[in-house]
Amino acid sequence: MKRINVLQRGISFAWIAAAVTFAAEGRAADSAAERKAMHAVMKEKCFSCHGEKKQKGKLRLDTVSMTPQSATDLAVWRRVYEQIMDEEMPPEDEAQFSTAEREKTLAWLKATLEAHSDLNLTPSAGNYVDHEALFSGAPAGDPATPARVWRLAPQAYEAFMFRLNQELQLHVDQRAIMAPWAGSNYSTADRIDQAEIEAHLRICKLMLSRMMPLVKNNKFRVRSLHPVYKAGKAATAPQIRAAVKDTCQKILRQAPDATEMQEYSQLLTNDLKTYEPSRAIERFLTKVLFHPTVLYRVETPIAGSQRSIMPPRQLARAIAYSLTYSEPDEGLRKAVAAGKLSTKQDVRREVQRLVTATTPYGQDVKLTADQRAKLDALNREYWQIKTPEARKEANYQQKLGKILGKQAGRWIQLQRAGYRSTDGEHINLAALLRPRVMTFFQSYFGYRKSPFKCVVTVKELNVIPAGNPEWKSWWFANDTDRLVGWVLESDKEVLRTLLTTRKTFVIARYTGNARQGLKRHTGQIHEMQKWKHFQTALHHYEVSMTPEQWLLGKEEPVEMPKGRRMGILTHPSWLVSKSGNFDNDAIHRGKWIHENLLGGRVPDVPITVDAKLPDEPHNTLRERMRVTRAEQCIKCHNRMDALGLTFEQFDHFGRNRSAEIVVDKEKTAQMKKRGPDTPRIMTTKPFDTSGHVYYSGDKKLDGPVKDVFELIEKLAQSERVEQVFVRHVFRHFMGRNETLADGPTLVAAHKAYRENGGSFNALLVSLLTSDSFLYRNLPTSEP
Amino acid sequence: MFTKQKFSRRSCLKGISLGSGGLFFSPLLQKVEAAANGNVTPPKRFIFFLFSNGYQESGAIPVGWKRGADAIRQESLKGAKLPRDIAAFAPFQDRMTIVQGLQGRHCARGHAGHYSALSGVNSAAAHPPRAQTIDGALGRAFPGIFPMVGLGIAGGKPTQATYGTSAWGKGSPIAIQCRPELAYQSLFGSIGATGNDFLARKNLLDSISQDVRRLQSQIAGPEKELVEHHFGALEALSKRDGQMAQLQEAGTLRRKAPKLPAKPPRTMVDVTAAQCDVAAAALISGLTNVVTITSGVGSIFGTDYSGISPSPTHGIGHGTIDPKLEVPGLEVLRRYREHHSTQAAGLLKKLQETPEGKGTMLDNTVLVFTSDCAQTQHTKGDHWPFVLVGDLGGTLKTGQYVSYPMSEGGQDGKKIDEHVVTRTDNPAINALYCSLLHAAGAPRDAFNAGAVGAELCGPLGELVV
Repeated sequence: MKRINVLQRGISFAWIAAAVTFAAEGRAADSAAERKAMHAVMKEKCFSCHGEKKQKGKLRLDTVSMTPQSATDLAVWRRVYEQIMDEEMPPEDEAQFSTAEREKTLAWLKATLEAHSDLNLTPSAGNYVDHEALFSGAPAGDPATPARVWRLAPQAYEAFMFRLNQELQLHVDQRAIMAPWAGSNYSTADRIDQAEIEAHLRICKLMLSRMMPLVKNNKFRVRSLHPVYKAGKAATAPQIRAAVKDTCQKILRQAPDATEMQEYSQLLTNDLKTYEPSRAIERFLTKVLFHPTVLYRVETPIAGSQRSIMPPRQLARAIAYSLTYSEPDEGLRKAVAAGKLSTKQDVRREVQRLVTATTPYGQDVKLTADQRAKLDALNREYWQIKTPEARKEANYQQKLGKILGKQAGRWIQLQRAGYRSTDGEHINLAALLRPRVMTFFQSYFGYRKSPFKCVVTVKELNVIPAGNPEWKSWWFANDTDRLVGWVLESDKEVLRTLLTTRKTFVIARYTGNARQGLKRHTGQIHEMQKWKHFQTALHHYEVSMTPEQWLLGKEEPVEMPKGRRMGILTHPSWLVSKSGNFDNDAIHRGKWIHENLLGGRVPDVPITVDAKLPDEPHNTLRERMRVTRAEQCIKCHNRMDALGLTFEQFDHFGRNRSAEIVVDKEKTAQMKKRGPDTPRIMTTKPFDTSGHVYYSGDKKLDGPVKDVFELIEKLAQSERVEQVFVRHVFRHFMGRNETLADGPTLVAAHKAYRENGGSFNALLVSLLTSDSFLYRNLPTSEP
Repeated sequence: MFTKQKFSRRSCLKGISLGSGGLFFSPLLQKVEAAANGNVTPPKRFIFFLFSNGYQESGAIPVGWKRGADAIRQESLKGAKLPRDIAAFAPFQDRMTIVQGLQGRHCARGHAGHYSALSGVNSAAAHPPRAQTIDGALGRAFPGIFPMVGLGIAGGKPTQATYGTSAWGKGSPIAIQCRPELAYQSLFGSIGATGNDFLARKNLLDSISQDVRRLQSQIAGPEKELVEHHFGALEALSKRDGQMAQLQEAGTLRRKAPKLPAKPPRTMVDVTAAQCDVAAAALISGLTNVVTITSGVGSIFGTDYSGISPSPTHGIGHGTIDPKLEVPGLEVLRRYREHHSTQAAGLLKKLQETPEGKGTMLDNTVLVFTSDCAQTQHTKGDHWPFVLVGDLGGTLKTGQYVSYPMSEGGQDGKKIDEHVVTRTDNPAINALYCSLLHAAGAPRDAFNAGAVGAELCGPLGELVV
């Protein structure tokens, strides 16, 4: 077998990688005839060892689509290309390609890899799909998501277990049924491995330890299991079928299909003959708890279809898990049961309901104008009361009861559940009712991911006022959460507002559960500790506020000074999330803007590059970043550095500064002569906030900027930035990257957003009623 | 505390015959039988013991010896007095090699090493591993029923199975189990079980996998790989349970499993002891040939120092004085390392007490003792001390101190524990791992070369016979 040398192989592989990485626009127009001809060559030369009868190297080629449908298909064809290119295949003792066949095959493979590079669907590869092609409106196939599984988010897994715990009255400590995995937003990203299976088995065992005594004593909510337990080996087929049906409906909230009924019945029947009844029922219940829907969202077309809207049960779960971490609510379940969740209109109705809900299903409280006015007056009176003791005496609930009448109980329930604050609706509804919406903004902007800030750097920069023992990044991240929720409540020009507002909350009360927020804060005015946190935050934001304003009355944002802040990108939380322990991370700030607002691409750092800035504490960050100006670095770094360095008026704690603090090299060296443990001497150098927008894809955006404010203004006005934002929303709620076939979906979604005054709700409704979301498909057969 | 048990490989075979369910398991039993009779080369075994917050150089050099030199030093440890950090290894001094002067500038992290420490490739915990780690490589090369066992020490934390130090390859992390009682269950079955847990579980997993197999035919896109992986995981667990069932039936697991305390250990000192007992039992029973024990799972925030100090680990690493003990943080770290080395030495002693071939199990073992973040928190990776105990069947040079060129230096103008600085052309930590592969008989030209040249990642003549 001939082998090409390593260099040639490396070059060919690098070429493939480059071709795939920096894809051309649109797809190559390989014809059906070309694919048929290629299929015939493959059949002759490849399928005998990699086909139906034999799968050497565990590779089967006859079932891989000649028109790649997935990243898996792409990976297979890439490997085939390499093997043929390296003359590894066909093996020496098998029939060889003729020269013409080999050339033709390689050319076809190369073109196919290039044309379908947008199937490189790893989360970081989303921006490889050509932006102009996506928004051109030109059709590129029927949009759909491939039939898939998507591992449940840890919150969703826990919600399921907590629901079982409550409904079946198991009284398991909820801390023992935490999800054995972390979450991500992509359906391809998370696998279930041996460790996860073992952890889930342990949780099942714990749940079963509470279920079985109830089964034995006929107190289990699945009533039909007790007769089976009592009967043991003598259990009849109808008894077993009833138990299977009942169990699936109570635990999985769905009736077993024909195959499941047969399998579960068979298992239970056989086990009752082999084991003690309790063991047999335990094994049956474990199998139910391992049903794929307990671990995954399962999304397929209707049985027998190549491409269709998901079946109603799957659709209900897809809608529910897109917006929340909970199973379908009562409204969705009722729609499925009534056969009213199968068309686009049905979906629109439900999505609209969920996206605009202000209370959980069926818990609305409707107030008349008179009731509203009286409630406001009562709340104003209540919020003047400063001490908890006086509040207790004021007898708020009795007065509330008189105003609201029969609805008072439900109103109080909503308050206790955290959906209402005492003074009305000043809470973060998105966080409570549509948590995946909040998760989108958190992961899109990334402001909750803060590096650990060492006490050394906190002290050196005098970050906290004297007497306050600590600084925490999550204070500011919570404020950003609250700001996002506040912007979503108004639902006007959501992106533009987030990019440009000078509003902020200060140690926000209602980041999540209103009741917890209230409890925490009413005590705080008496606790000096929390008051000091508040002072640190005021100092950071450069605003002033009294403790009473902070704790009492309606929670409103305050405005930061002009010329000092603009939007979420200048909030301490975002700045801190893109910083190191000792300094700003201008490269990652710029990378974020390039990828998340401009839709650009920055390749991964090559493994051969030791990507570190020189350790020169006497130089400014911009001076140290001179190393990225090297010829082999500048092409990528220009996309990032020139954007990120515009933020240099802020330090790595997200505070405004007038100069950059650096080590005074000479004076420090002189001090060191006196003793090795003397502290460093610091000095200041002026910072430079100038920058440049390169390769944005929008000529109106490209060009120099003098500072971050000019940059943000340009970005906030840009249609391209809005479109890129829509793409990221698509990815989060679809759990996959967009393909060219999703172009019309994105165009429609952007249109809905723009035509509704920048409404995020309108954008969501458009996406969740699109074919891209509703349809699932299976690959077509060759060629 | 765990009950320490003495047993010989030969005694473990009592009651096991190849006919009584041993057929499935016969290769391992035959190997052990033959090894007991001196007929077959016993397997090589590897223990990686990582701890957090750095390994200050003074804890990795004999007392009174000078650090730093312009040339490579190779000196005998005979008669040398070991520092407190590793004094527990004194009984094994003739099998020990201290290695100083390796560098990890290309893969050093700030507060923690994560996957970098065992791979020699820059990897942060927030991201999937970027390369195979040495324990993953050895686990693949010398698999047991468990290719590799990862045991974590997460004192004072609720962590169970997590990821952070070990990987089969890029994007494929290996789970680390931080709760000894759960590690016990995975390895030896449920406590007090009357039946054959593993066989019952195997049957159940086979039944569960039917649902997943059905799913495989319904899924089209890249997620098909996830389902296949899930199915593969179920199959692997089922197969493993089948093998474990054989051992369980033969009574091997019952005899070798450590006795668990009534209450699961929670403090760092107790968890360390428990995990070392689990590791010893896993190695002696032949369940695995590669064990990684990682204190903190690659991070200073992964464990506290409960049982030694209540102070936060981060401050301790900065030298903050422990208000309760009234000692500087670095002294607390010394006690932390001392505890780990004592427990590791106990593990080695158990292996030494277990005859194998013409010697003991320790003869074919090597323990690698190091920190996941070089010599200190906030490290630049310019010096990474290691201690190796064991000669791996005579393939490693031992009883020596090896030091690559280093000079005295400081950090940010301060001397921190007489910090030394290696030359930039010193071997990387990758080279030590490559040496292990060579000594084990699975040689590579270089281990994860990339960010540093291959010439700094190849086997070290000072270590390999």
